[in-house]
Amino acid sequence: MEFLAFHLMPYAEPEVLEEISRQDALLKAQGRPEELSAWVTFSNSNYDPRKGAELYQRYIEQLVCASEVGFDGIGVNEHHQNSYGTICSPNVMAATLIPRLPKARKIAILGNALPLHDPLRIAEDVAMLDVLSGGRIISGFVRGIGHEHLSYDLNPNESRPRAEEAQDFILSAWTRPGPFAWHGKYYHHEYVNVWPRPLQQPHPPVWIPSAGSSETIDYAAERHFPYLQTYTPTPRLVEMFKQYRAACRGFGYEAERSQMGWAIPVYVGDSDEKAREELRPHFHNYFNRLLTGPVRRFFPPGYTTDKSHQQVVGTKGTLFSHNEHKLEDLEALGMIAVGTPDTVIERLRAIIDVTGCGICGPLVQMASMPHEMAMKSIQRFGQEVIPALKDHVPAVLKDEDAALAAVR
Amino acid sequence: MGDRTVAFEGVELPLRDNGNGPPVLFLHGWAGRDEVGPFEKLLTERYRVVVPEHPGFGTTERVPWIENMHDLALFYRELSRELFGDEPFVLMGHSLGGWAAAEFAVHFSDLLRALVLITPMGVRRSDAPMVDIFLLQGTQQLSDLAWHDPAKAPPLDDPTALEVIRTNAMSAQLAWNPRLHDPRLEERLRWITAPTIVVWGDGDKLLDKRTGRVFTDVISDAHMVRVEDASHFPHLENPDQCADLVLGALASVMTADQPAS
Repeated sequence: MEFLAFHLMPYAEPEVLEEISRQDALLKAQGRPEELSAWVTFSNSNYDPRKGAELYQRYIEQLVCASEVGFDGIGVNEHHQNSYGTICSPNVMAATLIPRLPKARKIAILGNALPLHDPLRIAEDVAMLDVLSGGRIISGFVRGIGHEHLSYDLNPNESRPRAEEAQDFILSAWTRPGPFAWHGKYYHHEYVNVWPRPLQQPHPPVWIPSAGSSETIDYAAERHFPYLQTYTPTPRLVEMFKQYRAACRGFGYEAERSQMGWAIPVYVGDSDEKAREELRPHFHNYFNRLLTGPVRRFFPPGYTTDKSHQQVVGTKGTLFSHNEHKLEDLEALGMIAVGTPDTVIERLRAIIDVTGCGICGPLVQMASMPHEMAMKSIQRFGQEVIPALKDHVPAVLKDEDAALAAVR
Repeated sequence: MGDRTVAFEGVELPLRDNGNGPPVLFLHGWAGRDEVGPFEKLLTERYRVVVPEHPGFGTTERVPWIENMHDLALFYRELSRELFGDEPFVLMGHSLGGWAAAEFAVHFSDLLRALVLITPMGVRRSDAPMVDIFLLQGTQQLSDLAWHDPAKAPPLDDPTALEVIRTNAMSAQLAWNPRLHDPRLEERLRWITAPTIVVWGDGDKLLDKRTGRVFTDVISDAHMVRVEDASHFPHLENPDQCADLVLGALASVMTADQPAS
């Protein structure tokens, strides 16, 4: 098993959370519920740069700690213009982490949101990071969630085809001798000739984090790219990886464990009850204040196929609506792991057993979770959870249903 | 006549085709093709009124090469040839359809007897904030802005209906970025030589008032008519006055340019 400490680097100070709640109430009273969100339209005047500087330092410390207590590496991602996650440039964050994480075997960018940017710039950034890090970069590629299409004005209808062309472009930029011209449908470069070339050959590993569309699964399987599933109830997680393994077989090979991973918020405490109570307010801020927003922003028009959109909108109580999610409910679904080291070990082992995953990306800090709390959790995770699971081989799934029942 | 479909550019395009008289092609707006209402009925008393559903909206399949307003204008040039042959016609458009009509007229004014733009989009003042329709599709909030009198507004769209999802996606295809306008349209309006009538809802809460005047200022033969007690859908909210104004304005244009027989 490989463990990568995943961090969003939120700005979740008490004043911000109060302001979100205040706006919540005000907008509802004004009949403007559609504007409730900590994303895109939540003013950056709520950001105090001095506090922000402190927060970045603490988060970096948390990742350094993770790399020293046994995590194989770390992961950062990309989100824009919001207080949920302030890593607007994962490449900038990776660059500042590289010299501070000599022990991390992998520094994962999960991932660059391809269609928001010039792919030539991404090819250059990641090549530079790979050389600077001594060949430790994992290059995740994503489309960008709905909100990013508001922050960057990318037409949601074009999101997928742009991402695909950008990906092909970047892989060519890394592997084809330059200079060459690229005149595709969306990207036009007369001279592609990236200096530096990446250290890892033929190129840094490409991982595909996703929320689980069939198109993305097939895309990753065809190219032998590891597939990472984001926050998902365990039964659906099982389905996604079945689909991925089937897709790989369709392309003529058996998926390796190292091709399958998932992300999950974790918190390790002294006792199960105490851990839940300690986590509860931060869980609430994370799932019910920062991550939520109108479905229209998560799925702007044209972002996904008409049928998929119909499914998303038709599902009541989706993750992203302004529901009041309960900690115990998400725990039961396998979407968070909280408790003593033994409890967390059991939860993760069960998921590994039914999915066959070889990569786990624990989210080590949530929303307003204070620094000391996150540090202790990371230390416990590294010292007790990782050793117990490091060499775990998933149960041979003769009866997948039985294994699934064991998770519930 | 009546409701029919025409096989065109690889799709089955629904058309309403009613009335006798000089031809009118009506291009609907971002919310989809409206049901027949009094305004359309009044027009059909003097004109042949053809109302297609844009490819990609409602139940109509997308035409893959239609990605933006320029493409939509080209599509309608070809469709108008199919429908009306060489006969010049009146092009009418509402909101997003008004933008498409203006784009059409920039290139093909020679094909038009007149241009009628009902609360047209396509021009945007950089200093005027605009409601983001795409974030409010199907909401009460948007309905309250788009309609002067809430009692006149239609029921909110069902967000789970496939036609609604498709309409929203296609309007985004055409108008997401730059949002709801073409930065170059204003300067290109000068090429419109067709006599132009701009219809404005007196209480339009979606569009900045000044944008309507951009059309009448730049287009050489253009004037504005105002519909009272109406916001963004004046032809639906106050159909009698809107029809009066439009038919009156068109009548002067039509008599003025009687083709020599």
